[in-house]
Amino acid sequence: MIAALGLLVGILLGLIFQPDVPPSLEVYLPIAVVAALDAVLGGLRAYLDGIFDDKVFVVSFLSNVFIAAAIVYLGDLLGVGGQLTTGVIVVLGIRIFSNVAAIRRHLFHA
Amino acid sequence: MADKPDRRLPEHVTTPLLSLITHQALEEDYRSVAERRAREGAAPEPRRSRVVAGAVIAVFGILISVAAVQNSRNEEVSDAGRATLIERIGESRSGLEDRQARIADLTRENLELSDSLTELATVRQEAVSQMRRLQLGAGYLPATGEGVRVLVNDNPTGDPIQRVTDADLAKLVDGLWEAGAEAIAINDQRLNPLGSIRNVGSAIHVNTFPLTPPYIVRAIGDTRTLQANLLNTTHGARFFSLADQLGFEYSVDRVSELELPAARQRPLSEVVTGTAEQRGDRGVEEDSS
Amino acid sequence: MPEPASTPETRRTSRGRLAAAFQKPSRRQLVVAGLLAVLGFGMVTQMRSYEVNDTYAGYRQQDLIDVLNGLAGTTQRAETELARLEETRSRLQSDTSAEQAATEQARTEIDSLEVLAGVVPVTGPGIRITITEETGPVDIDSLLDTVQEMRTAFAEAMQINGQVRIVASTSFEDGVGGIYVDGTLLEPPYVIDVIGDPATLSGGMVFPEGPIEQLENDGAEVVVEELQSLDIEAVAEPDRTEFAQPGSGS
Repeated sequence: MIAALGLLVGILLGLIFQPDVPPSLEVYLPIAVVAALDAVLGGLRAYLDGIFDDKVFVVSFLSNVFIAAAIVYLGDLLGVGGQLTTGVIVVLGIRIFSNVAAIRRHLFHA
Repeated sequence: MADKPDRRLPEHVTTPLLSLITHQALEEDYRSVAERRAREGAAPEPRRSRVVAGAVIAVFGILISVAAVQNSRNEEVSDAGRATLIERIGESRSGLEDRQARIADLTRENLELSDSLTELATVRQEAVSQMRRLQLGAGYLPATGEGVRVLVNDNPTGDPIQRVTDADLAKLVDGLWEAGAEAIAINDQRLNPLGSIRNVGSAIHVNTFPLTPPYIVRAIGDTRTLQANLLNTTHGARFFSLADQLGFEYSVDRVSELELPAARQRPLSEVVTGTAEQRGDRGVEEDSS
Repeated sequence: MPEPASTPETRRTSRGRLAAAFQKPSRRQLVVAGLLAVLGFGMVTQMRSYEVNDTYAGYRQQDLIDVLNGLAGTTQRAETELARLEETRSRLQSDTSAEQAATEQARTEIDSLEVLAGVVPVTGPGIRITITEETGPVDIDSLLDTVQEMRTAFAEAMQINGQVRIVASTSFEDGVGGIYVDGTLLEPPYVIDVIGDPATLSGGMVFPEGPIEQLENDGAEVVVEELQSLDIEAVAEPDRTEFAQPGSGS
């Protein structure tokens, strides 16, 4: 489907162009990826639940990424960047597990 | 009793944190939008949602791959850096081990050298000691000690027959040796195995050096017995009897400290140590040097 | 979900269930066993790989740099120590050479000194003077004169009758039936061996009013033989002076 195609295209673009990430943003890239992953899995679960909406998907994706990055940035300013990163990862991780569990229930009826 | 307000606190206040996170894993927006659409009766899913979703997921894809590529690059760099560092550490370590081994070697070598140096120094001291003893005895080292001083001068009348001759001094010296003298000098000439007392014309030469009267014969020896012994020797007695006969001026004194100079050593040209047999009878032509 | 009260029934049931599980293995348990096996394998593998090789596994970049710097510092100190040791060794070596040279020099000196002091046998060309008493005894004056004349003629070593080595301090004394040379009574004929240039030595004997004339006046017969090689084996006692000490000029 289009979503899968979109993922493939995105990955290919990233591998082909291999853009250089400026060193200042390097720290936030992993956080952004995890936050994005959380939004994507949330969207997938909503789709399987039958309540998917693209506007909500876009908003959740962008807000997740920016809010996560903003929290880590604030933490860096305060000097607790590492700890806040850990906290954000913890929360995002729990949500990811939750959504994946729901997805699993849908897919395997287990 | 006041009435308790019958208000239910919102869920996000009462539930524990982890439960809250788990429950809110799925955005509430999905639910509320779906409920609203159901109420409004619109289609559950708009057409365009697929495309938009696809685009967003593409962005997600880009993010993932960029992050992966970045990470692998960093790893390469840091790995390369690490590898280089570890290699340099290895080189540094082995270089250090080499140096430490060399330090151990040198320390041991220096210890051996130091020990042998101490031995060598002792050997040298003994050799020098022996050399000086020999030099002293033979007359090639200045000597000091108690002894007697015999002053002899020609008869003041100036008669040639009444001058002191080499034979006269030779008698006196022979008497002194026989009496136990250990070192003798006439004026400034130390007697030694290669030197003689000889008249050349009317001048007495000792060690080939001409002397002028008065002749001061200094002899180092036991002051208690030297004089007495001298008079008891044949040559000593003869000398004094001759001196009286010919009218020499003379005096004999005991001195507590005499200082006799050294004689000059002449290199030996004919004699060599050992016997002809030992040297292998190397023939008549052999020239000793 | 509130925990069920721990009633005897529950306890019996859960423990009973556990006991039953042990007593009755079933297919379900096989699956569980398989998964647990995988878990166990994974744990052990991880633990072992954690403790294996790579001494620098846990080190971060900065740590490695610190190690390198530390090694550089230690190497520097080792270099300094090496330089110091090399300097010491070079000093020891030169000192050793100096000692050896000094000893060598002294030994060479000792060789000639021993000849002059008459403490070693020597050999070389020279003359043999044989003095036989014919009509009268030899006077010690004549012997003294002979010795003095030989010294003037550059004699380098002398002995009398093969018994007494003539050195600087050799003295002659009248004796009964002979002559005391350095305390040893020697009887005629007197044979004086002299090492030096034979021609010069002979010349020192024969000149007018020289030793031969003097000895003949005493009543002796003198024969001088020039020899290409003669041994002098009489040696003197090494001098140990009691009163003479090395002077300040030495």
